[in-house]
Amino acid sequence: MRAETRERPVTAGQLPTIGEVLDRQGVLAYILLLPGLLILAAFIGWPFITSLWLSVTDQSVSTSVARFVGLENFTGALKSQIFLQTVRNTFVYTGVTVVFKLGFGLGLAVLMNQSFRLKNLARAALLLPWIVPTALSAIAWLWLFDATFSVFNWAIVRSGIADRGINWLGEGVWAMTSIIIANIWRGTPFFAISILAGLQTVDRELLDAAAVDGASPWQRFWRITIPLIRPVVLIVLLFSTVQTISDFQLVYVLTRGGPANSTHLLGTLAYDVAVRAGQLSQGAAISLYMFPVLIVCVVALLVYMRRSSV
Amino acid sequence: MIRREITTPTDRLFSRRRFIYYSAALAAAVACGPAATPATGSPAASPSGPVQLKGTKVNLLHWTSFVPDEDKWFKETLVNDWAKPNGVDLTIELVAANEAQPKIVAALQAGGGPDAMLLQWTWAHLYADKLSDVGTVAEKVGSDGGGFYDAAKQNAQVQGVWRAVPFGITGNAVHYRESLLKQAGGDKFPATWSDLAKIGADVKAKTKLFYGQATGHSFGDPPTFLNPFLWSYGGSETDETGKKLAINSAATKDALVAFKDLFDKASDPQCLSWDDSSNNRAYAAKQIWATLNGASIYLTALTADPDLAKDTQLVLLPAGPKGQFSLGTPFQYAIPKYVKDPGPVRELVSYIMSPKTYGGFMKTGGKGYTLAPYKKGEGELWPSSDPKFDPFKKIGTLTKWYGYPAPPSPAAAESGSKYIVVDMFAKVAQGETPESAMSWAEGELKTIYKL
Repeated sequence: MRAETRERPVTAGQLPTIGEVLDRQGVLAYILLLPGLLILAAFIGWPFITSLWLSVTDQSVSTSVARFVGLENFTGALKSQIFLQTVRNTFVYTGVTVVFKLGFGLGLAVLMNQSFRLKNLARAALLLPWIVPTALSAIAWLWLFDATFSVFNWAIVRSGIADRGINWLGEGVWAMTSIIIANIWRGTPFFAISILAGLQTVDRELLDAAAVDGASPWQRFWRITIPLIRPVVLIVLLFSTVQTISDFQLVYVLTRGGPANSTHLLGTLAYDVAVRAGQLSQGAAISLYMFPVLIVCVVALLVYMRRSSV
Repeated sequence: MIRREITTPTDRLFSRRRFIYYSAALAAAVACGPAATPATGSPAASPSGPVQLKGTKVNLLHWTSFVPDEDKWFKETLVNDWAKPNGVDLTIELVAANEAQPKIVAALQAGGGPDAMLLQWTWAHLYADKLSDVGTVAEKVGSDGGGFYDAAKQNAQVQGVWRAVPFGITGNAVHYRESLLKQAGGDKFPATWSDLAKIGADVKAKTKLFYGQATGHSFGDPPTFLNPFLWSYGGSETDETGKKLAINSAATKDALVAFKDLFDKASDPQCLSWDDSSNNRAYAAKQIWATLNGASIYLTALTADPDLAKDTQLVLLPAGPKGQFSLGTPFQYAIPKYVKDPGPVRELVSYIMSPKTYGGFMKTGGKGYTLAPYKKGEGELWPSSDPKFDPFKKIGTLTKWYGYPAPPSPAAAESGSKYIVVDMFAKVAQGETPESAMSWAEGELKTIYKL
């Protein structure tokens, strides 16, 4: 097809038509970006600004006019043992799950990068825990950990490992362990698939050349593969940290923060305080305690991406 | 300056410029759509005349009862008997009890949502400023019903203003297996907590089944068991005025020590993770021999497992040194202030709560699961000839409220929502000392009550 262009001179002082304005690359770029920016502003920017405002007021569900209280909600939270316990829980939960997800994800990715029969089916199946809506998979875990009907406990007792099953969700340490297990199960495929994508970009020739030079498989993995996939691993690590630290659904379905607050995360506590107890400003302040950690992750991510792209 | 004009027909059709035009036109159409459609609001009621019902719409947010027949009554009987004859487009929105509060908070904050909402506990005190005064309806309902129970009134009335109309109380009673109690040498259910610890231990030793009571984060069973336990030993969050904390006391310590004894001897650590449905499932599966619950366990057994129902007896909670207490789960109807025409909603609430209608609801619905908030409920409206339900007749009089012995308050409601009392007991069950648990609770209550 032939595209014809007709050129016509513009008289000085004549206003450009809308079409002419749209033809300018600079203008068009912003117009095309506008829908995305509006969505971000409406669904992320505005709620965030609102929560910032709420956190420095005394807004509750019943107050019609909020009063500015400065940092009172933030300092008030620090006086609560529940909050301090929640901060500890959040860091333990995030730290442990991210380390395990990275380890398992890397292992699975290396495994899936090998050639074997039904490889594609196995790769698709690997994604299942990540694809299934978290609320649904959490309900399945709820039954698996159920105090009375746990299939794990049934297996433990039937196999003679112990006389009675584990109190999965009813004892502080076990409850935390349970939500960590469920999170690792759900999050590992994200690591595995992302790292697998990175592995497939590794040049075979480099590995073959190293093998010819006498490098062992272990050396090839650590000296060639890992450095080459490091950018992918770091980005996945940061994304996962951000997602895990702000987790909500798993804990809400499995324990609601119990027993005795031993599994409360910042997200679930903020929900309880803001929605159940009606203290919107306190809830906003609690959720904003996540912000410094998340901002460090995001800045690290942006800096790394910028360096990589230079 | 040179400008380019695209002249190819296909390019004209799909040019980026035209794409922007079409997108903008579509966006404008979508944005203007709702505004262009006439609002289907209710016609305004005359302040002086009768309420115009025909052609109005009412959206009622209700909880999903643990007794399906109650939901059916709302979905079918109420619609057929009231909405259709009056020409009202009535929508009943049922949500699980634990999910009701987020919807209510969102609606009140957004200033739009259901026309009437079923509140629980002392939520009317939390949301008072955003709820209409429903005094005229509440006074008439109370008067027609022979007077509200004190707890029903306390929960719905905020500083002398009715912010909600009491709907009902989900009473609770200990469901226990009579045959298992007898196996352990007991002839009747113990009347005191200390006796329950003793007989509970015997039953556990004999049958391997335990007294199962939820002590996790859930709206119903944990607080309805543990608050009365605390009160029965003389413990409470505050004194009668609500202006002085009283949780860190000898009475609370006694309660915690007694609870630990009961928990260790007669219960099981798995209860720490239980929610409101866990004990229902465990009882139905014959994994426990006794539990405190609404009548839903017995009602379900009547059809699902008649033998279990036959073996099941119901009694009120045992007493402590300071007496016998109960905490039924109270519900109230509230009309948010954002509702522009509350007339039809008031008519609906008045209709549901009239003794005639409510009597029908009790008979065909839960048969005593949800108890009337007024005294006629235990008298002429009593729905069951089954004597096992008789303990529930006393619930209305016996039940207290969050924050007792002080009047209900937003702080008491907040404390309940944060499970402070529940977690204090749970901590002791997990091995913490009573002193440490009390001190923790006091610290949290200081922040909540701002004392």
